[in-house]
Amino acid sequence: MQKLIEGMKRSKMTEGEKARLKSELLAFIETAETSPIKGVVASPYWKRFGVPSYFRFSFASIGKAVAVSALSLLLVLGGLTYASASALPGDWLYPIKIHLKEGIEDKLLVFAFTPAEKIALRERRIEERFTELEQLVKKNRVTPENLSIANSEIQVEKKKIKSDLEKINADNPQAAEQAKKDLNSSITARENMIGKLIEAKAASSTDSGIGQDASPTDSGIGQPSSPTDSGINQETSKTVNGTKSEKEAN
Amino acid sequence: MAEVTKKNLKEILEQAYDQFADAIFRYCYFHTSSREKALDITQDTFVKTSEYLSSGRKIDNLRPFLYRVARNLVIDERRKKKSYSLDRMKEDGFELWSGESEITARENVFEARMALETIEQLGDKYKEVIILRFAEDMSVKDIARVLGKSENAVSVRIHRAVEKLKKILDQNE
Repeated sequence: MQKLIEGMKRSKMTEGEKARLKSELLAFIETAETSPIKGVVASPYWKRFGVPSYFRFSFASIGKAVAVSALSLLLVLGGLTYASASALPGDWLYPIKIHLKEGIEDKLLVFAFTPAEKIALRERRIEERFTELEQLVKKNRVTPENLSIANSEIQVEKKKIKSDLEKINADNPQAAEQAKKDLNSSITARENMIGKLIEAKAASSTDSGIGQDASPTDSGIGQPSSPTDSGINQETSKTVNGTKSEKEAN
Repeated sequence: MAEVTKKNLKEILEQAYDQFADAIFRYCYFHTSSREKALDITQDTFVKTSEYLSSGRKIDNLRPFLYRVARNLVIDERRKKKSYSLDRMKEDGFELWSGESEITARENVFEARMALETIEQLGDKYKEVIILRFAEDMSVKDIARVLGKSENAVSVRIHRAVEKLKKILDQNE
């Protein structure tokens, strides 16, 4: 075994090999880039763009921080958006539902939907507003403030529908007329239903405060097809008729 | 180890090379059975160590660190290609020239070849500890650092490797 070990120990580089490797190693150290910042290895990608070494460290750390922050923000917003789906007027998540979730959807409408599809979406939206109001009533959460919020959102949707109908009317008055009729009938039906629900609740509860505080006239919703609050019925038909008259005149 | 600057990096590497290059070469040679590959891996070992130090990281104990780097490179090399067989080595007529006289050189060649053939029969696990313990005179503690194992595990492995080597040597006589 001793002989074996001695044999093993004898194997080594020749003088020439050793000298050659050493000179190559020292030449490598001389030419290789080193980072002045401790703990950072120079990236070959930064070399391509000639970024000064003190920036490499900054970009790396700032980029990471930005990426992490953006991802965290997206996750939080996504979570809030998801949670806000069942929010009702007066809930703290309700503004997120209206402005963030539905606001983004509205922005995307420009690219994805035809005018007819937009009307269909608006119809769903306004249906959602009525459903929220219905939920408030059923859950005995009707307050003047909640009703005011619900009502104002319904009016917003009505205005948007009116605007979209005007666009359709410009291209296809017949289609606009039909859409207007359909929408009017469904909105009116919903308003009637909500009004009756509120009245029923008020009648069944002596101190719920629904009958006293949230009168149909205050909400502007309970009165069916009221000229002052239906919005779409009066204003939309005026616009449609006005447009027709202008066309006939021309 | 003091903080590394470009100037003293060169000095540190030069000193390390002078001290350990032959040992690293020997280690690589007995693992690859090829002089060419052993030279390449030896050079890569010091290059990688230089890159490690130039990135600002510290090395507490240079010797086991160099062996660890060389070991990883040897493993990579094994994964790339089949190991250079002893038969192929004999066909190619491997040479071990240490700059000594021709007779001594031939003796060295013979002894090194015998050593290589013998330890090849141990298998990679035992071969490694035999080389580190007896050819490189490394302590159990340093071997443990190189292999990333406990000292106890290394001691047991060395003991078993020696037992197996003795059996092989007895069979060969």
